[in-house]
Amino acid sequence: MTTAFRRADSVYLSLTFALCTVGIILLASASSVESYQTYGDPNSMLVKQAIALLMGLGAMFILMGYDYHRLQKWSKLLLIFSFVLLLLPLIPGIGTELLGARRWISIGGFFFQPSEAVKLALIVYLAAWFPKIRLDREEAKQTFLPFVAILAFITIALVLQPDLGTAIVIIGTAVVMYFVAGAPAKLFAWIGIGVITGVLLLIQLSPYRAARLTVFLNPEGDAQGTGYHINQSLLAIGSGGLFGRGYGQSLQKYNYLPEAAGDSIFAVAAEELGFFLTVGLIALYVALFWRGVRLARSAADPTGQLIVVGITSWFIIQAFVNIGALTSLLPLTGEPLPFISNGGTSLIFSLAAAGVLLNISKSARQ
Amino acid sequence: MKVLHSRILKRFPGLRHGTATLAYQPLTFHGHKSAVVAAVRERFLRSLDIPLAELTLARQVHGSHIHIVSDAEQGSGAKNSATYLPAADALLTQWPNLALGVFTADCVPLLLHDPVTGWIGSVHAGWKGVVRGIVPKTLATLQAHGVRMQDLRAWIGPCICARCFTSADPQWAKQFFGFGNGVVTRKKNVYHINLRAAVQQQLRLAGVRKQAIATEGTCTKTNRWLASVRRDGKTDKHNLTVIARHAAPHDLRGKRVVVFGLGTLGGGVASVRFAAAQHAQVQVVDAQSAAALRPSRVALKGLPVTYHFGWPEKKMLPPADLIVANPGVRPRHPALVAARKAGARVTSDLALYRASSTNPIIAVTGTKGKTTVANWIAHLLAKQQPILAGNLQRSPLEIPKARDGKTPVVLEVSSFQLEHCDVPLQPRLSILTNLYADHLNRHGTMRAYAKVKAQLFAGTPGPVILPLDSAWRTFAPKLTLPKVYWTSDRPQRAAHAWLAAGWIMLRVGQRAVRLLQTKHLRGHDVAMLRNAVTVALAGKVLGLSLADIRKGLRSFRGVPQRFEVIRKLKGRTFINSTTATNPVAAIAALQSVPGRCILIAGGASKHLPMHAFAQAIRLRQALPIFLAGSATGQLLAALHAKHPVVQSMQAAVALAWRSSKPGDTILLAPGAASFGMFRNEFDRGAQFTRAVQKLR
Repeated sequence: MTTAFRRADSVYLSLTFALCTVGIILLASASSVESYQTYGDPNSMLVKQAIALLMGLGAMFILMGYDYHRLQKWSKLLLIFSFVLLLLPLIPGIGTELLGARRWISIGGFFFQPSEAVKLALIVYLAAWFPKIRLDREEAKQTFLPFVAILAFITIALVLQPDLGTAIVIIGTAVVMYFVAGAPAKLFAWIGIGVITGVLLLIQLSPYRAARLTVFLNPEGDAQGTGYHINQSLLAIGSGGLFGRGYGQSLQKYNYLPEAAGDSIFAVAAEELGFFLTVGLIALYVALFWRGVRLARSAADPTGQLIVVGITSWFIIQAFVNIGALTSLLPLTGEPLPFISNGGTSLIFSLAAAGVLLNISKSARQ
Repeated sequence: MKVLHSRILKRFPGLRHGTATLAYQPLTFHGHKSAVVAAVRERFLRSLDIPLAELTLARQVHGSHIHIVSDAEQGSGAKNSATYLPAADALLTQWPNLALGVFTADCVPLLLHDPVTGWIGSVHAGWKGVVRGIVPKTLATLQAHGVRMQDLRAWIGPCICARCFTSADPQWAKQFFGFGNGVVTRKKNVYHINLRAAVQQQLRLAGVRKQAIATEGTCTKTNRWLASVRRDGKTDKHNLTVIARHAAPHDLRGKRVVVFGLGTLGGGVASVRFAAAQHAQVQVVDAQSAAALRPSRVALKGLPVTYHFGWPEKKMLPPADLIVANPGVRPRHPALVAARKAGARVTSDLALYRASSTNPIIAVTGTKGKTTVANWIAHLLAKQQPILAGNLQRSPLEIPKARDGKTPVVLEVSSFQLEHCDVPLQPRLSILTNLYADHLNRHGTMRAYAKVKAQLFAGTPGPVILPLDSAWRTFAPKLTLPKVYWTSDRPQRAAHAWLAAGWIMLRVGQRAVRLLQTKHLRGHDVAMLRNAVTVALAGKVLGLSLADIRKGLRSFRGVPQRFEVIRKLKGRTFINSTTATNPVAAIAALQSVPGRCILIAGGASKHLPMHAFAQAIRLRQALPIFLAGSATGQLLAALHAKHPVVQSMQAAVALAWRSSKPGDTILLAPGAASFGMFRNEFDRGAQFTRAVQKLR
């Protein structure tokens, strides 16, 4: 292929590096308290994340040089493998329970979160599958049920963990890909109905979700109970003001804010860096999204285009779900901020996905 | 990605091409309504900035027939299947505004372009076509039309790749064994055929340069945005690949443009305006003084232009990317030579016009009769509202309608203008009225002069009208012309139009047709009759009916300043023929005057022999009054007699008036250049007219 000699999109690559750099800097500050309390060393979590970053960059560069067409062949196998991994945490003895959730499997001292692998595997699988069928024709209806079945399986597995946030990101990403692939509008009405029904059902099943929804609508209602997290987050963001307390000066990370280095890192960033720099951070995600859309438009074939669309929407949806929850725009769900939150699996797979995208950018045309 | 392009072809401004992906369907008429298909095609072509009316398609048959598309076939097969061109798998044309299309689904769509001659081609090279040699045959056809293989650019469009194009049948694979390495490979008893490599090798063998071949890497079978028969079976979906050549406006934005020689005839002014409108940094350099160029400066008032007047001959021009040279500047002017060496492109207003327009041009050149013939042809074509432009007329650059892509432009082109024209004009019809000794002070020899004239139709795709009985046949350079029509002033076998016993004759098929009796024409002089023959033939070649040609010939009233009767006063007739700037034209004018003639002649010399003119004056017993100048000295020497020499036009007219008697004709036919006493020949004519009008 002549594409092997072309260069990957340098803008996207630079944006990825920028986000990783910002992430490590933020994490160094945000993780110090938790790290000291857990491991007795304020840098322990930072070192673990740095190792994950190196592994992620390795994965990214390997995938950058690996022709994405060849991923198509493996897509089905990868998806099944990721499904198996997804079920592992639920099996007692293998899965590890942390913070009331069974999302991880432990491998030699490292925790692995299979739901991150599912994201990438599903995107590649759908991108290989959709172009083979003519979504603008009768065949579309025949594909609808298998598509919904895959999503339902993932959702149920994730709800059992429970990890509703990831389910939302995955469903959102898959639906955007289905739309870009050209599925008829009628089917989206069905998907909409299905999602709303599912959400209502889940809220009925577990009372804490209903409580989170109540908190979302009225954050001050139960400030010490269910509303504690969101209130501490808003407190952190608010006390940052326009210019922040200064790097490393966060007070909220001292046990007030849960998951300060993980899902709540954005609140710590807002507290330390202030409004303007935080807007800059959001601008990085917007730029990553904009560049992704451009690359999708110029992709050389439908599979490449759908992978770019999938990865781009994954990042932006996940960033939105995370930041939205912490700023009380959305109900609280546990989703890491891509490239920044503490969590090795998330970082490695985000970087791997960026690598696939960069490989596609090599064969892009104007 | 909705359209695939080639990087190599994209480089040429004005060249448009691309392959439609499945985002545009249906593109063929099989089982679809014509209107639907036409709408889809239009949408695709609009993205390439090509009008649907330009799309030209042939019925493809996996053969090796080549069709050369003429401009009359523009739009064949674009809107319905009934108008497809007959079976052909390669379409070639030299005309602009023709979008040659080829349908494929796994076969190779091959696009060709020669930037030198302007030829473009689209080739349908399936494996059958490749085996039958459609590619070498197409290249041979191009070569026969003067395309050099080292100039050619080629794009091998999206086709099936070697990995997907397989067969287990060794008999079938054997057909490709004749090709070089890499075309046939065998893996596990399955043969893989690399069609791209096969076409590449055929191109290279014919002499196309390696760097001039671009290959699309994507495979039609694996890329689901492209149609593939091997993937989808018999399908109604196809990839449409098109190529079209449009006018490329010179992108002058921000460039340093020097207009060398502003002059007062309009060409310089038009060039300045054209360059300034494109935001170029324009400088004007002229050897003349600011006062002499006042009219031009007034016309350019307000434009951001730097002027340098009174520029010395030896001085270097300011640094420039592009120099627009006035026709009056000789090509070997030291300043131009130096500028070329410094990397500047030297061009002319006509070249700027040609490069920015695709309008059909009817170009007229020749030693004499250019203006009359151009005016006359414009008169003949009156129904199409043609534009008359060129030498000593308005510059076509100034006329917006001359760039609308359709209005015919009748262009009068002088040999001086051709010298700086660095872009082939490619007229729809080229006409050489005649060729006499003229301008030899600039061109040197007749052979050089003829060579400059020949630049008009060198490499043209259109027909050419040439004079059979003139110096042309003696001095013409070697040329390959597509179609030549000959004019003559006497019956000759080879002529297509000629004069015979008071008739203008025209060959229609094998028959000689009496077109018009010469007495029906307004002017009777020999030059006028010759011009009428040329115009009649031009009308015929342009496809006018004989009745229309007759009507146009009869109703033409002549051209201002060319044997123009400007006043009749007390029995004297005043005729202005100031455009007779060489002896031959002056003799023709002199011989056309009935009765006693007072001739105002002479002026600056063009280094032409004056003996014939002197002899004509003697034989005609004309009373000459000479305008002072170097040619006058030559004439006086040849006449061996004393004749009055005056210093101004007013004095000449006054003297002529005093020496005239009723029944005389007072004729201005200088037979010499106007330089020195007048700004140009029109200034000379205008001064004559003014002086005559003042007479009481």
